[in-house]
Amino acid sequence: MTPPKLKNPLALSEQQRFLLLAILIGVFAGLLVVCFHITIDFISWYSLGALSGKYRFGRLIAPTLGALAATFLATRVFPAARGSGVNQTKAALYISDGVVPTSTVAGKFLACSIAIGSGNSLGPEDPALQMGAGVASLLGRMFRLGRKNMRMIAPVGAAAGIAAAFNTPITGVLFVMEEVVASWTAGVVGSIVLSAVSAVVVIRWFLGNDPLFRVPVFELTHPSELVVYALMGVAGGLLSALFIKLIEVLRARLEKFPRRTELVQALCGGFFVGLVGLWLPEVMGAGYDAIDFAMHDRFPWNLLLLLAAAKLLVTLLCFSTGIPGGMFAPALFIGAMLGGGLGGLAHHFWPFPISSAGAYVLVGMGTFFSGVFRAPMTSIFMVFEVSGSYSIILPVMIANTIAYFISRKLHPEPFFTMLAHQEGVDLPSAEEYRSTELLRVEDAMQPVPSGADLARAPRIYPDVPLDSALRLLGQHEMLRVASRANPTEAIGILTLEDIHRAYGIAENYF
Amino acid sequence: MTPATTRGAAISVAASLVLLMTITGFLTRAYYTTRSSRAEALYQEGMRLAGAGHSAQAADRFRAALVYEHNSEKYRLALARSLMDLGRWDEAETHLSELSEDDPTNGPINLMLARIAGQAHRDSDAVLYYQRAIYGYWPEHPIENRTSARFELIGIFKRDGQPRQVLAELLDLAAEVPEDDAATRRRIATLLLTNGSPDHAAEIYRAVLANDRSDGAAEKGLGDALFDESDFVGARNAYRAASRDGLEDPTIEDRLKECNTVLQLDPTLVRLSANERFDRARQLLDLTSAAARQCTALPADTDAAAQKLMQEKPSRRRDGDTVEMITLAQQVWKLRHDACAQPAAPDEALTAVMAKIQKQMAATQ
Repeated sequence: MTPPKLKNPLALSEQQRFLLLAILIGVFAGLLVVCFHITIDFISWYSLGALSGKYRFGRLIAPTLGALAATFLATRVFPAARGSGVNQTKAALYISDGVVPTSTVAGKFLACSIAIGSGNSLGPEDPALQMGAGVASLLGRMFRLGRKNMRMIAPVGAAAGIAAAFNTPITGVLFVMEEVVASWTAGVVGSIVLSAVSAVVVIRWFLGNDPLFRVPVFELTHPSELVVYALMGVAGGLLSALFIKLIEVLRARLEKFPRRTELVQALCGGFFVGLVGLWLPEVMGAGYDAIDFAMHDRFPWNLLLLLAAAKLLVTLLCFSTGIPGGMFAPALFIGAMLGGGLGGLAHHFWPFPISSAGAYVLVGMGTFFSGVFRAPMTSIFMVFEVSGSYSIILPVMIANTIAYFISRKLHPEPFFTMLAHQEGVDLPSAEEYRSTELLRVEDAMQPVPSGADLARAPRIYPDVPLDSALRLLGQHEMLRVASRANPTEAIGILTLEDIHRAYGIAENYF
Repeated sequence: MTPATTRGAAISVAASLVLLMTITGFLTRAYYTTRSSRAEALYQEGMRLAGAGHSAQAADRFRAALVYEHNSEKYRLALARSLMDLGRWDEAETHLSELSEDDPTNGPINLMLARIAGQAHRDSDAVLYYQRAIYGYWPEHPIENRTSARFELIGIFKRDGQPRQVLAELLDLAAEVPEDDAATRRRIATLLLTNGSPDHAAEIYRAVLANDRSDGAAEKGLGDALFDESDFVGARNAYRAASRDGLEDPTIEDRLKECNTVLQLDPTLVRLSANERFDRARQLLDLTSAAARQCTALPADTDAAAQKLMQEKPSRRRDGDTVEMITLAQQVWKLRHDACAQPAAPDEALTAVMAKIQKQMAATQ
């Protein structure tokens, strides 16, 4: 007879393993993002020579060849790596039970580092997010996580990837919670936070504590400036809606061309970037250096507006022609330049004292981001986290919220949802999820009929979602709706029929 | 999941982690090394181009170096210098302001900002930056650089017409400059002299001469200072000493001649006989009256008094007449000063003597 097995006191529950795994995912994602950054910079140095005048001709050749090579890799060698990282992470969450093909990581790494390093107007954050999700998925599979945890592993990795790419842990966490995971539990939030923090620790360990930008001191010079910031939000909202629309239209048109033209399209996109880069090298690559310069008032307002327009155009072409890379950095660039340009313009015409254009660059950065990605909280906290200035919160909140609502009004379909639809996938939109009206008991209950025997009916509160009520009705015919102020007093009843009726009435909501 | 598979996964993950960390470590090291070397190469090329006067190309190299090393103060300062050479003051100021935010007490940065502000006639900003440069830290040659900054600040005060600030700065500077730096001290003394403080100038020249008695330039400067102080004898002695010490200055002979002329005219010199003093006073009155008549008519009573005194017989000379003549000469000189424009070629000896008399009268009043 074998002795009974004693439970190992050090054995971890699946939830505990999941949390530990989140740290590990953060470390791996952080390391990958460090290598990714370095590779992009190396490619940029050797192809563009730090964009100095000495290598002017390289600005035309590098993005053209880079676009060709990167698109070849993404379409022919690593086809799984095509498309938006956010949508692929959502697909892992909602469709493929957390599985992100490992080849995606290699594909994104190689293709995007070539595309961005050679000067194409795209950013490294979305690929970093997807690489994080890919690494997380791989680790989840290695440790054979259960289906429920496995589904959540990709967002955990995505948070690590984006936090490492921006070097901002709060932004990483918020973006994933706001855009990828529409509903979350304490365990999921804990894992996302752990992975984001550990990724940022790794990034800072290897690349130092230097922030993304050297942010100037911000202060609100005059209360009337808030009006200028609001106008900036309006401009950001209008431009972001236009940008989404243009991408939608151009992508749809280009998709109609035969598949064999993909490389030619990318070649044209890269060539156009190079052509613009000959005169405006600031628009090439992610463009963080240019944002940094703009923050320190290095560009006049008219050049800032020109850069915003040029960047919008080249990003539109790069993205629509299928060159692999992300949209976050270009969105920040366009918003920053637009904000700086409007701030500079206000300097000439605004009748009250006004802050330097650098402050407007900083605030403007979030407006376009908020309008395009429909992640207002992320955009607010990102600017706050990058600037480290509490006084910036008020203008950022005003500008970003206005941009968000205007963009949403003019182009109701969010950017990532639009991309998913064009790719033939129907993914839930976090924004739509948040906007959906949740039906509660109070929406379906009816008054207590006279003489009703409620003694055996279980109690439920009016603010409880109908889904929860439905579970209870599996075992009981009727529920007693009670006020939280006086739980013994019945204020109504709820039956299965009431719920059916409520959902029937609410059909038009969905 | 069995313990064996867990162990296997853990070992694989640990091995992957070690491998990835090693690769990242090597990559990071290569990254920083390459970045620094490329930036430094661009900087050196920029310095070479700047040295050859190609400021535009130099600025381009420095800008490229900064793309590699954003936070390098050295590269940014070099870029700002090139931009200043190109006359792109605004752009240079942006870079310097940024550096100043990080390092507000840096002497070279503040000096460059002061020059930009001075160039743009933002004199209050310029003064602020110059003061920061003077009291800030200098990585190289602090004394020389602070002195140079103060001289530039003095130039700003002078341009703004603030003589008190000019004198205050010069006196502060005089107190700070090392005793063995004769050239700077002479420069300070010269500025004190041209800014109306010959007594302080003479003091500094004497201090310079105390260190080196054969400093011809200091002797000449002392002569000028004493001349301005109306110590014509002392001035003549100083000029003679300068000439004796072989100072090659063509103006010394002229100054000596001027001293002699003044000394022959001056009725206030000690050890003059009464007759000599009377003669000089009459000559002085004659000269001042003639100078005044060139541009204005003298009032009748003044003219009559002058004529009367001029016609006094030498046998009736009295000390009272001498004093009266000098006083009248002073009144006529003042009249001329108020009524007439400065002549193109003024009689310098007469002017010097009258200035001395005016000072003495002011002192006695």
